[in-house]
Amino acid sequence: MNETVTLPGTESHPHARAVLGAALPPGGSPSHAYLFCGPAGSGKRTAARAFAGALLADGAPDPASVLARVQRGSHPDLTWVVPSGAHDLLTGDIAEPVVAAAPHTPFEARRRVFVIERADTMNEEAANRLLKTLEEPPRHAHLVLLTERPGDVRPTIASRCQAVRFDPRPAQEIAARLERDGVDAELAAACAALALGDLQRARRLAAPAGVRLRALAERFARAPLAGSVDERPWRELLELARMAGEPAVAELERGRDDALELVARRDRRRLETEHGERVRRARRRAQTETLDLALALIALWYRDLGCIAFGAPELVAHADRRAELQADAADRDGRVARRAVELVEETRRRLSVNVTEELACEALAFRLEELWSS
Amino acid sequence: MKLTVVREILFSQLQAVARIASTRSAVQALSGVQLDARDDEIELRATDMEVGLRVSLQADVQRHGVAVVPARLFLDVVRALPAGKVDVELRSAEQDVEVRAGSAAFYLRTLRAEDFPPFPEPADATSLTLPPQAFVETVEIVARAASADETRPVLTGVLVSAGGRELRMVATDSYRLSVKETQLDADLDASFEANVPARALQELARIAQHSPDAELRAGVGANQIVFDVGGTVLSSRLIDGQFPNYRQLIPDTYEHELRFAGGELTEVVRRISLMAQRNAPLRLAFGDGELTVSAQTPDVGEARESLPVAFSGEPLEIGFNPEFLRDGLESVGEGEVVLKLISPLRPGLIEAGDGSGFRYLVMPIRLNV
Repeated sequence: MNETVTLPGTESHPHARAVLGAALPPGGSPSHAYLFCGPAGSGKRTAARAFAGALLADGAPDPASVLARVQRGSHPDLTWVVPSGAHDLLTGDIAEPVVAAAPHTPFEARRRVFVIERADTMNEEAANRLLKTLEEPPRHAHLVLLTERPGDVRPTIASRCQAVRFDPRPAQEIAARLERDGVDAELAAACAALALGDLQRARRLAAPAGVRLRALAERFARAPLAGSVDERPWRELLELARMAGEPAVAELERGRDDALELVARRDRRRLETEHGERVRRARRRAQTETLDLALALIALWYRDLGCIAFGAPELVAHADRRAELQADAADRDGRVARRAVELVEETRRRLSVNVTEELACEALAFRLEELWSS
Repeated sequence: MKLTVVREILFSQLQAVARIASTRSAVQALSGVQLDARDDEIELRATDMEVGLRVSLQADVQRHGVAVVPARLFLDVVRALPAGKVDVELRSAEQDVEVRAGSAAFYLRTLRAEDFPPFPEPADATSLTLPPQAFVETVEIVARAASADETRPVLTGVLVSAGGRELRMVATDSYRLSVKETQLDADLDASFEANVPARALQELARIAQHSPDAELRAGVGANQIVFDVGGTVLSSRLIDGQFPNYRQLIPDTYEHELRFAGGELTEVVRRISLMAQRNAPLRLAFGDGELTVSAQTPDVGEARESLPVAFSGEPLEIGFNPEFLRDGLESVGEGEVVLKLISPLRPGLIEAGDGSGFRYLVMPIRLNV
């Protein structure tokens, strides 16, 4: 056992520390496949990178250069897969980079590491392709799959990986981090509670754009209660989601200009087409993520209503909106609140199958109004 | 880094190296060629993270150093320069490389040198000298049977075995299997067996053709194979996994053993294949003393041609993929071809009649009528 080494990213995750610490070289023997499970922002990526660094630097003549290149993503024996689909991991994301590449021996290290993000979004064909690699892994290959939704990872995949648990960060810890960044204490506490253990999400909510998103989500949530759904509260929310795609697109555009400068003319058209597709997917992904976050906030609003109706106001996540919640909860039935949460969650699930967002939101709003007025 | 080099030397070596540079990697430095200036020589390096190529050339080095410049662009620039001396200097402050020839001056922005990986020099390597001509010929005959299908990565390589007086290469894409056992003039100084990506061997063959007199050395480590052709060093990852046991696949006995004069059958097959389009099979119908090769594509047309052959017994008709059959026949070249058959549903074997150790097993296509 190699208990003394703590991998970056695993400081507050005892299970991850125990499993990965014991696997580190020189003493440990890493497994061929791991599944890192835990909410977004809990440090899975940081830990995966550090773990890859440790495996690849083992026995290297210049470990510092190896670690630096692992950090920058330029090490030839580290393959990092980010799903390229708007919502899912496509076959092309792993067929060539992972399945075909895994039997090829390392370039400079003793091992090869393949990290696959959002493993839960793997489509069926991609999962089937990966199975063979997981079942009969080449001796030098180590796979690290990351997921925020371990329940959605196909059992055939999950059962062939060693699970590594990353626990959600406690709300107090997140609130303290936000306060250190200069966020007002009350807002910090609310954002921390609403983030459900995800530091990145907490930061996003505490930023001005996040505050606006919360305000719009709240309007949407309260409209069915007030019977004012015909004001179409989803409109502004959708507009905000549409805008959310733009920063991601701008980032990609910059990258494209850099890349195009260096390629020969004959490769240019192909790169431009590939890039266009990436931009389209990135925009769609950012939009859906924003809308999904808004719906999560709406669901939390009803959950909070339920908490108050059932007499447990201390569990409220919207800690800075107690007065509004109290007003909404007056004479309401907690069981209806629970049904409302279910309706919102159903709409969230539908987003991943490419429904028309406007129609989905409109339908949700009217269903909620009907529910609350019954 | 500051150096002076003769344009022709730089251009010819750069051409070979730039081919290897990656065109589609997310790591920008890999689209570049690394220049490493040392005492009286510079080394050019490029890699796409599968295959690496480095070559050293003579230069007047005034200052040591390393720089990575975009490969295609640098090649285009050097190609366009006037003959004579070229001055190359890294300007660290400007983050570019100055290329001067006559009164022409170019400034190429450098890529991140730190992202360029160190090149493999396996410490555990078994090292041996190989006869270059035999090696290249064997690669050219066998490598085209390797699979291009990524779903079975182990078949995308060529199993290379060298030892004693024999050099053997095997490749298969599961529809055909190509084996060449080349007898050498002298004993090898070591032995190895490795599954080498077909692409790496094809690149090596290309390099070796350009310098026919150069010595070929191979170093085989656990993870990398390194070939040195007269100072040009090509390294490649290996493919791990169980290569099919080809000896089990080749039948021991055959019903028919038919001999064809050099190139005769190849020519017929090449011609008639023109009418075997859209996956239509090529039909070989054997009757008394005669073989009729025919092809038919619905809505396109058909073709047939007969040639004499020493065939006797029950008539036999067998179908093959025209391209696979042609590949096998062409690999035999000008010599006598031996075609061995069992039945219409068992694989056929093409063999070189001159005993040069080439065997090519090809699966038949079931004929409906």
